[in-house]
Amino acid sequence: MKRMKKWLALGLAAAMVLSMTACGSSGGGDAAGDTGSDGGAESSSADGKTKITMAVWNGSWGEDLQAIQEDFNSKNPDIDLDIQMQTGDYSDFLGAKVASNDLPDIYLLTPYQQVVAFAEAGRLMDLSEEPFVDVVYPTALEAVKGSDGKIYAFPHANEYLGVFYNKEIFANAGIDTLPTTRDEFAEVCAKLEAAGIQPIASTYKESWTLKHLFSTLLTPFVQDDIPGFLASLNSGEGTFGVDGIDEVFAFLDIMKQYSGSNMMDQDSTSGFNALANGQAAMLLSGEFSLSTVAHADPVQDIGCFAVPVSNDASKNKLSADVATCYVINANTEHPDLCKKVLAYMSDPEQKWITQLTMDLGDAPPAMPYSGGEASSAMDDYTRYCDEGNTVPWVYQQYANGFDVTSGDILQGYMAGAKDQATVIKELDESYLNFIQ
Amino acid sequence: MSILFQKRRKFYYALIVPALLLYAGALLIPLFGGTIPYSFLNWNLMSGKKSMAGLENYVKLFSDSGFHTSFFFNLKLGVFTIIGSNLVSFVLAYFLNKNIRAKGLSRALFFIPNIISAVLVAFIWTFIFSQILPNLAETMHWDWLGSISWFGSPGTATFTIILVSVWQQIGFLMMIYTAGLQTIPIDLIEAGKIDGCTGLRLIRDIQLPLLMPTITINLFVSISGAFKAFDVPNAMTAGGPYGTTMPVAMDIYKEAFVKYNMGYGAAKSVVLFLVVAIVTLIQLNFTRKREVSY
Repeated sequence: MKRMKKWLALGLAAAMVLSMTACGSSGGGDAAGDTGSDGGAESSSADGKTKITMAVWNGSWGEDLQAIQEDFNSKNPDIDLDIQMQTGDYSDFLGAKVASNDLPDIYLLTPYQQVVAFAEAGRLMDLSEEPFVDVVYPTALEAVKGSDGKIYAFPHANEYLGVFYNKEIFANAGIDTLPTTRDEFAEVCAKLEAAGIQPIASTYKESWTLKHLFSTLLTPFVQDDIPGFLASLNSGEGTFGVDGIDEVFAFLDIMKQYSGSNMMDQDSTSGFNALANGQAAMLLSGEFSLSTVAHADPVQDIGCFAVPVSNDASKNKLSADVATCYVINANTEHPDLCKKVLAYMSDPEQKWITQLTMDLGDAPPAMPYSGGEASSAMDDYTRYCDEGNTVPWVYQQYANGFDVTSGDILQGYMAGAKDQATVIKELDESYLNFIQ
Repeated sequence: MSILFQKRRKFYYALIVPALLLYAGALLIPLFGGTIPYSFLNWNLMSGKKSMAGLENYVKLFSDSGFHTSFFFNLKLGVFTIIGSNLVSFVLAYFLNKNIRAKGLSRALFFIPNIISAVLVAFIWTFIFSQILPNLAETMHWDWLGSISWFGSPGTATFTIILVSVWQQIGFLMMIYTAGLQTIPIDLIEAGKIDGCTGLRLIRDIQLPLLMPTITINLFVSISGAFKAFDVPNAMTAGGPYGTTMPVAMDIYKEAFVKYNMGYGAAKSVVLFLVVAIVTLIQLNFTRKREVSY
């Protein structure tokens, strides 16, 4: 009996140690999440292939990435491309890798400020001579230049923010022309409400949607001199109370009036679903909301028009900008192989672009492209691009980190707790905390 | 010290060494070799620039209104959560200690919220507050319920976080109170009843003093849990609306990994650590003194 107890104790202790190591390797399951396995450290696999690590953020594109990885690796037998989707917060992952100086060979960044910051810290390889430079839209290249004018990233996707509307609901409510001014927009909302439909789907519980919203509403009024606007902000003397800011807040008032009850309790999931299920007629968001639309049954026909924030119709343009770009680690051990991967990624015939643009809700690439899932929204987007009727996303050019705060501050206005003057003052004051 | 202890002393210390090594490696070394030195630097995580800042970060803390707001939110959350969860769990433990049918099943059911991951708990409750309650109000024509915007104002948002935190913790605390109640010798209680001490007086004068060790543990766990709160507020309100329900842990996380001010974030962490250490030391001292044994 004594001996059995001894063995039992030993066995239990061993089980405990084993479960500890298992928990350790699975990362602990905290809210902060796994920051993914180490990247860039080992560079050669057992079978003589050279390993190239690519880090991207979390999303529903796991299967797409798997297909791309298999396709690339089968076409390049000397390379073992390993695409790692980071669970948890991507900026958390970046921060950790920057701190430990252990960045992957290729990774995802947001354009403008983040690229400039990383380039200034010497972390990015100069890509000015790469083939994609001649293929992408010239405006897209502006998003990936460092402060020295060189190109440091491959601009992958062009995303667009606007009013996504249900074409059938609009037709049924007797709305035959799309609103091009704020007053017309208010009339459309009133008509929809009179027909018993919630005009606008709310997403305001999540402040990142308000970050997008504020940027979409503000940019038309600074579009003629965005560099000047940002320079004044970065000097510490600028203000968000620009000419036309009253129109921005007047538009926000219309939104508050027509976003349904309990609008502050609705997050992006419920907002996207409200559009996808036909419960709301409009959603002010980006093309990424169409993935939710694609999964509804039946799939609603959703079109897109530029947010008519101003009563001067000529100012209202679709907010379209580069949203994601890929960079190569300046200290990678295999620069030529990384460039090979980059060439594959920027070729519109290869799987990287075709796989990532084939579903409804996927962002189109930042180059002339005729593939991708056809939809009313895509047709509208293409028309705006062809007519040159687009403006960039000003929030991507704020001092690093401020964009998140802008959403938080605006949330106070949407909740009815702060007035226009307070919001502008808070935006101005808090921007100062982000200037280096 | 007993002779047996003296003889086996080295062996006993040797048994502590593995745990001590792990503790040192996982906690002490990163704290004294990492966080505390970092708090004296001006370190931008993105650009990688480090420079000495001395006590500048700590001085900045005193005028940082965002940090103060988070701190007071944590205190508010802490007071209500600690009192609420301890009271409710004690009541539950007390009644589930009597001879009721399905005692074990009830205890297990009350414990389940503690096992569910905090993020899942937060999602379910968010769904309840933002979809189920408004629908219920509409169906039952309860306008007072339908007009509450749960996440739209700081007061109601704080209430939802307190409710969910208490709901999740009562199971665990109840288990510990149950264990404590069962260690009270039954003859003491019977002696008390014979002498005419019953009901609330019995609880107050006999059971609670004998439960002090249990209360010590539970208060300690609740207090440190309240100050470490992150997952429930993060998943329910993400610090909203407009930053009014942001606990200190989230403020530190945003400082270090969103604003990339690693040095300042480290200073905030050190201050949080000191505050929690002082509060729990005071609490341990207070409750230890009141532990009795008959």
